Amino acid sequence: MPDSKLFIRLGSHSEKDYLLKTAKLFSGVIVGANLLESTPGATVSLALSLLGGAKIGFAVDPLTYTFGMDLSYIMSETLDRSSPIKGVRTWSLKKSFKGLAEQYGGVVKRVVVDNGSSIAPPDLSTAEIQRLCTSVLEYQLGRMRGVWVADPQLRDVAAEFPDPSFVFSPYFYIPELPLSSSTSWEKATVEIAAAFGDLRSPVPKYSVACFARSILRDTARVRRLFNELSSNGCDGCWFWISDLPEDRIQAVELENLRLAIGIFQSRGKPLFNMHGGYLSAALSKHGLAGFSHGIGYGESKDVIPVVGVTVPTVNYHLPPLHTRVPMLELERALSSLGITTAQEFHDRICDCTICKGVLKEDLGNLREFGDFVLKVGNTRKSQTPDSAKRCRFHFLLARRKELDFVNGNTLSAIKNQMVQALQEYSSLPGYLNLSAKAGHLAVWDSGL
Amino acid sequence: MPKKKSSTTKKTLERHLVKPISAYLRHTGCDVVIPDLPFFDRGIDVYAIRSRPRRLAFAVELKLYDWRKALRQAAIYQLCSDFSYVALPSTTVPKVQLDQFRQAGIGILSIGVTGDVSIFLKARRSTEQREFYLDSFRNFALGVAQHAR
Repeated sequence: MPDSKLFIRLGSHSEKDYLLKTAKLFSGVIVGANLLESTPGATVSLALSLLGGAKIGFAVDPLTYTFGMDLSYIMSETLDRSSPIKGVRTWSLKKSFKGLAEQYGGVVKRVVVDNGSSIAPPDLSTAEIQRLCTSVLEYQLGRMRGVWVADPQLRDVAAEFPDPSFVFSPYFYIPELPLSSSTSWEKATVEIAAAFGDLRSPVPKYSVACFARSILRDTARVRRLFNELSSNGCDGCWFWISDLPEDRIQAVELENLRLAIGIFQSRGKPLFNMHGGYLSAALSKHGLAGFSHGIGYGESKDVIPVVGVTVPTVNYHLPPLHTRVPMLELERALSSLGITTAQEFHDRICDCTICKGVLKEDLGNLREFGDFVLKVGNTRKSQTPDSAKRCRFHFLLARRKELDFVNGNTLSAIKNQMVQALQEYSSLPGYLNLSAKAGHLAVWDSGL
Repeated sequence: MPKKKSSTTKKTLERHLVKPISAYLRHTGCDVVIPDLPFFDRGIDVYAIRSRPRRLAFAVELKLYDWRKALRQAAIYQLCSDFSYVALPSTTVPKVQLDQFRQAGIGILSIGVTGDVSIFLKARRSTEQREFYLDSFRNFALGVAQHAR
């Protein structure tokens, strides 16, 4: 089996530092088209340093699904500068998404920008689908180059701007319910993939299947959808199962995931998971070509965005369980795990450069991964930026080690490691939170 | 079938347990008693310090029903306290599995309907303390108490 490919998703330019320091460890980087629209100069410069400098992949996620969802998810309140009354606020599409909709034109501009509605399946006639596929393809192939063309200093060399490594088809979310809507969106997804597959492109074209988690439990539907998506002119497919944390996957979901992978493998086409983690890496042994995730984790994603909550804590990625845990829970369990020195920690938990640098041969320094501070006016402490940064860098380095382990070992060795960790952690006393955090390894082991 | 209480209602009811527990801790000689001490991204329901004859720190997790969750939480408090307790209404206490508390070294405080508090199971001195956590939480609690005076 070919090695599992991992693409890192960049959520904002504040994460660029992590990426530039670790980029060569991964197969490539994916940025959302909204980021390209909101910060074209910075995004193009990043793309160039990755494609040209680090020589790794780069792609733009067209994020068309956002235009088929409740538009309030991509709206924000801003000052109405056109109002004669000072301080009047207006609720409208975020500038980056409005710009994107205008770039795509056609049905997206007409329905979303001009009418202020979400796109629905009846809006997507065969002609509209063809126009949308063409504009989304052209956007991904030409938008970054266009930024150079617009720059007087770079205009002359714009032709030399590299193409993205691959392109995504437009895609929309297939909900579970109502059934009529679910069926219509599924039909539209298949039609879009087929139309996109018919287009000419200098780089590989991938269709995208984005659907509700409950659909994954429907074997007949998974078989039908992936059979159809594998029988078009696209070179492969990315899937996004909304809100499917791998450590909560059920046996039937994993079974159907393998069914989908098998369908694509039998056609000789690669299949990728848009939001996955270690399980996706291990699934490479069954033919999953690769996966992507964010920097502060993001190994699963709900199509419905989380808004208006406090900044989440970046927990410590625990390599034996391939999941993240609060540092306090790990610290409390160390004595029961028989880990009393920094060396034992490196031998049994993680020996990445970050962990070695933080511990400095003293296990007591582990708390630096969970440093919290009480900010003035708050009743709860929040994680320090330095601590979050350590956890993110550790995660990226530990993930690379996990990939190396998967790529360099047989499925049986990978499963053995899972079983060993399951036995070790589930036999911890019940009063330790970690004792209940290894259950997913049993599901993974039996499903792989 | 009783109607399931919402987490907000539960939290409010749990807050009613703070007063008797705080009074009990003061009665047993604790000179600093801080309710809802900020503890990472949550709070320790009651954190108390007894200065004499030796300085000792106590952490208490209050729960109405879910003693398993309280036990797991109290186990984490062992990192920053000398003694860690779970406080439960006396009607919940008979439902707990004592061997798990004994194994963890976590004590149980029972709160009667009139607000009377008694030790149902004595906590063992924590062997899980981390000096850094113990010092910082103890000093923070002392600082809060000093500021309140």
